[in-house]
Amino acid sequence: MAKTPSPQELWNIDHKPPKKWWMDLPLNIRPGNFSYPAKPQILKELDMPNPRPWSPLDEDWKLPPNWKEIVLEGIRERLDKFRTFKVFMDICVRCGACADKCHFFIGSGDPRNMPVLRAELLRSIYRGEFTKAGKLLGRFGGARELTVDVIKEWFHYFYQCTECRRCSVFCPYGIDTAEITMLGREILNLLGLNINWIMEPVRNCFKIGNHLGIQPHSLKDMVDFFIDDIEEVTGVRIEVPFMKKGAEVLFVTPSGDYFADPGTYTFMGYLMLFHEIGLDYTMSYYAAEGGNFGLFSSNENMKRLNAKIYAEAKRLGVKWILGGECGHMWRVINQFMDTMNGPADFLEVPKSPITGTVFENARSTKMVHITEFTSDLIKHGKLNLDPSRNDHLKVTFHDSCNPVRAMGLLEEPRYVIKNVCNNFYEMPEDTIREKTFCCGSGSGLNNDEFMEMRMRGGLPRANAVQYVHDKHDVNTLACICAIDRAALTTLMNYWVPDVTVYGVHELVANALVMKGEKKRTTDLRQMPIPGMEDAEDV
Amino acid sequence: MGESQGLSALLQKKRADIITRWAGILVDSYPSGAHEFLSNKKNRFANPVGYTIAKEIAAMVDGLINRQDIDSFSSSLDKIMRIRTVQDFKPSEALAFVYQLKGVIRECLDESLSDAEVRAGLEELDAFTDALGLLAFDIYVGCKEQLYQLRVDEVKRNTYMLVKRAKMLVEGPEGDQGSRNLV
Amino acid sequence: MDRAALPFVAVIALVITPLIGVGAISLHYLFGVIVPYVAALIFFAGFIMKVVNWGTSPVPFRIPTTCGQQKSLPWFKHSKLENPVTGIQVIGRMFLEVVFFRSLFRNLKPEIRGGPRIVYGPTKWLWFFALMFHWCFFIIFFRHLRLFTEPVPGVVTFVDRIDSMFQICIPPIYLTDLGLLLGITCLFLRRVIVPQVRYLSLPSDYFPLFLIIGIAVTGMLMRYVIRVDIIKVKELALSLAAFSPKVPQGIGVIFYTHLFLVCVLAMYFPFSKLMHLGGVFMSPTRNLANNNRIVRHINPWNPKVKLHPYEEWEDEFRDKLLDAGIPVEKKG
Repeated sequence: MAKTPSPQELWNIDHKPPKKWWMDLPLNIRPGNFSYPAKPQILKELDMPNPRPWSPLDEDWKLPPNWKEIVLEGIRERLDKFRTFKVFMDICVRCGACADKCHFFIGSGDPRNMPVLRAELLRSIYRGEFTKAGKLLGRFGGARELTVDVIKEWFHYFYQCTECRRCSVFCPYGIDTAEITMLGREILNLLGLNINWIMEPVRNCFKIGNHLGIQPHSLKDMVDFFIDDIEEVTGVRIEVPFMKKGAEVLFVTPSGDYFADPGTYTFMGYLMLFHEIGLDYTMSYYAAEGGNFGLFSSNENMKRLNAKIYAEAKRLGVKWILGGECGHMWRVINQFMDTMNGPADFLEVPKSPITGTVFENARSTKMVHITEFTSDLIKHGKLNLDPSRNDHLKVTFHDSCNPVRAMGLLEEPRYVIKNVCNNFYEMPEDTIREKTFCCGSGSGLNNDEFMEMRMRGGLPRANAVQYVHDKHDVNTLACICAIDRAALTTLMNYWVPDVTVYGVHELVANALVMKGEKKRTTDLRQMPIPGMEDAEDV
Repeated sequence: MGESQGLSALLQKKRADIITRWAGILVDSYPSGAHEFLSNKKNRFANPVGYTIAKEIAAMVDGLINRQDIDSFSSSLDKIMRIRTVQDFKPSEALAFVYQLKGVIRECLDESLSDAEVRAGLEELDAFTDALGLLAFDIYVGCKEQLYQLRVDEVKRNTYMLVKRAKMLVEGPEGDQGSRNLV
Repeated sequence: MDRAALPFVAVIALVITPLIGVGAISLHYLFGVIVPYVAALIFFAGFIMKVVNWGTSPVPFRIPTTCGQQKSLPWFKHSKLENPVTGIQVIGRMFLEVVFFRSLFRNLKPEIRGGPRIVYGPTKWLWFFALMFHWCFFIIFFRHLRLFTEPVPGVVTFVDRIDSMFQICIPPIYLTDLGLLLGITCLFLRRVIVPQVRYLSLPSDYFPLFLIIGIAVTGMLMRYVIRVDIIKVKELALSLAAFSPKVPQGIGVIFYTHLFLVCVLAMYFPFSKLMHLGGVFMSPTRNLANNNRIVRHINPWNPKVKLHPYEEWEDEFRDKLLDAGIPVEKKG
């Protein structure tokens, strides 16, 4: 009979994980830390390789028989196409400056979430298969053999990176893990290893025009709801032009803004602003999506989706394009759009019809960020604002990764917020601006099956919010990203439940005094504004 | 909590040692590449997990020394369990550190264990630790339930306008209000 | 630690090689002429080939990592060095990066401990010792030009004089010798002591550290302890530089050890992470301006992709569009 263990032994059950080097660590795939694979039908519709049903929990991932050849050829091709790939594979000195900068590492303690090791997953194969030194020295030279387990590891960890680029800020050589993850995902895509939360929006956006796949007539109905809601709050009936040829401006925003709470209020905010300043604009059902999940699968998919914006601007004959609040959308617009689908020589250099300001910084791409546009309006005193309507909100601002680290949009949103809110508090210095922490759900990982990982990854952000909540009683987290609005709401519910997430233009619209409006007693969420509940209509 | 004064004094004397070892157990439950990082508790923004472990473990040890009511432990325990619930632990692994307190205290009080009064106090402390374990279990399950609720809420929010359009929501101010409060 | 052991043994073996080769079997010509020439050839050819190889791959997208306010409206203060939009500004950013390790400096973690006093954590050491090491290495390299030139250019003499201005002993100790040794020792200790960095280190991270420590130690031994005849060393160096190699008699074996380790470093360089010397200039996240919206960047392989043009889309949705009263291009 087995000896009954002593209480001492039972208390001291060793839960320590094995002390192994990363190359020897087993992969721990479990529900909550991976995203579901793309449905075969979706891959077929996009002409993507190896559509099949499979699960990361299966032993057999049903890779094509010549998978190894495909991967090696995929790497070779990308080495020839991307200088970044070659340079980033060759020059890392493993100084460790990036190691503790990743929100997933900070929140999980999983060493393979250190940016340097995430890159080494790929770099070790590069050395082993593409460099003489690596072939010669093997594991000793940091090289290893390409096996199915390596592919599984890639899938796991390249879909555990939100491409936020925080590590890149600290790297002495500017090695950008987002770039490595993007290339890693491109290679995985060649084997049909992708996730549904990315590929389904890509398909929907491509075929129908927006991530959720809402057809144009349904979208029209939804916008009618917004018009009703705006009238209920403000007493002003507005019009929302769609497919209007010859309008001055084409407005493009992520579809999350018209489908998902609380983005919907931000969307109402844009509409109210445009109405108030009398902007001659139009939206489109064809190019109804500012977001671009192609960015999270391959540069080709990114281009396919992005092409619609210029095409539609041309068809409608607008002068320039205005873009809504979205993070990764602005990475695409600022760093890829003109290169991929330009030149936009059929458009004019953007000029605000209200203030006459010429947006020289968008001279070539011809697309302006809405906070650039609105801060110009405010600067020129074109808006009648009553920030006291937001007095019950103590606001802090979350810098979204892409507008900061792929653009440098720092002061514009702050300027707008400070003009529409009286109580603004910054989070600690190390957690904002170029050092901002990701929401933990970027790059197509904002799916619900990935919830545990997202809560871990968002912990550093939530922790900084907690700090200003404790210190300044902050109850409002403003942001300029559709994924943030959805993901931070969930994140706050878990970590800092007293804080509510707002889009910047929702705050603008709350403060915006419109011509002919009734006395506002509620905000856009139709929640009473403290101190104004009992006011009578004027 | 009723363990003897003598034990409290002893625990007070060994306070730093107990905190270090108990926090060490938590840190050791993470992969080896992360230990140094998590042990560095100085910057709460760069290292929220390590900071929380250090702060809340110390608070709980103080609670034990001052023989505080079990309810006063729930805030600290919640902060730690809330993190561990969303990390790659089995439920038993997430909770184990509470029970491992028994071993930690015995190791720290090694030389005093022969004292009858201390041993009696330890028995009470063990019972208290068991109660803490149950509390931690409640918190763990509460967090898991919340995660599932968050998933449901998020799906609803993501398709809020769709559902509204499908007229599945009760129209009118009251029904409208209710569904919007999902936020 | 196991990943550090083999590189250590390898460097010891490399130290012993010339001790035997020159000290025991007198292969002066091999170690004094052939190996240095081969090493120089491999270094220059390898370095150039690597950089050219990088250069043959295009930069399809302009993807700088922006670390400060963009240039937008005039009343927002543009952060010229953290978010450059012109060539000059990029040069400024690169200058800070290459000369002062700007990004590594960012690694500082200011901590507020008890009151308004800001304390910097131990993370600054990486920046500090890395900077110290690289600068000292560069100055030492520069000083060595006095061995290859006659007459010695004024600037080399000047640097030499500044470097040895503290007449601590005879011969005067070079500050950079101390700095190099201190810097590299600290970088090594950091790799071994900080578990997180040890965890991600490869043998190829330790090897150059040991090798450079070996070079520094043999170099200092030669200057301060086991003196060699510097006139003869210069004779050899000048003859090598003039491509008419002559090996003078009577240079101590310690010199050959030093030289051999330098040669190994040079030969190892182009095939290793040490190429970050070249790579730091080639990194598209740092050396490009964030002027994408101002000047179009060209991708030479901009792919042809299958699109879903408006006309197709309208065909697919025409009935629904018409029903909803949405304007269309073609009625049917």
